[in-house]
Amino acid sequence: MQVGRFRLTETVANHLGDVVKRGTFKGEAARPFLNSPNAIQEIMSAGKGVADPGGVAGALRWDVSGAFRGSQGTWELVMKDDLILHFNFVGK
Amino acid sequence: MIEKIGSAPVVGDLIYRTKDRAFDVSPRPADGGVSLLVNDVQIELDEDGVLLFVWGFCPHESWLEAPLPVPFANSVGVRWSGPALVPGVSRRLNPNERWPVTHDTTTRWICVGDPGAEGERIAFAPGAVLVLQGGTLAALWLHPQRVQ
Repeated sequence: MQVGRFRLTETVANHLGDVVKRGTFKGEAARPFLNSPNAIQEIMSAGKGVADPGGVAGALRWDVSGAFRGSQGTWELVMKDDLILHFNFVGK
Repeated sequence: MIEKIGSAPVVGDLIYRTKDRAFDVSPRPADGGVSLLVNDVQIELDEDGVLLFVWGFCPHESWLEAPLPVPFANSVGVRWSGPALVPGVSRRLNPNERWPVTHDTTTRWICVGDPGAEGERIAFAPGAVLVLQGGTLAALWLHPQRVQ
């Protein structure tokens, strides 16, 4: 699955279609950031990636403060070359 | 906090995709969209807070190899009873440090957290067992049906 110049693993791509079923965000993608090359680029630009603590050779990890849907938290991104292995927003 | 409810809601197989370094469930359940997080492993919930299935990044490169006993567990559904969750926003259950991941090549069980943690063991989702200590997660045991 291609997102701009990035690729998603099959596992990450499987969650592109999750939709919020009720409440304030009803009808929206649950994790719209998965499909946003701009969000990925901004996270990468916010700081220097560090070697993935999970031990994937050549993979880099970013943990960047931010906000999503009114929640403060951390953007988490793990990427090897152009392949996104993990991309998540974690609230405080 | 995690509390018991009725029967476990999701059927399917837990799989591990080696190339993705990730767990997933097949067939893919329809519900989800918010998650609890242990390391980078996501416990997906529905909008009622019911824990549905496990997926996400868990690189085999950092697994510790050790014998793991089969974690006998009761099959019960569980629900998140902590603060309200926002769609697409994960809540980390291990905020202070990454938990070790232990793998047994013989039994094919994987434990995220302390394999020696005592507590109530609940099989809540395909291939997934929680160890709860007073409603708090102490370890997550995973047993993929297939490795791809």
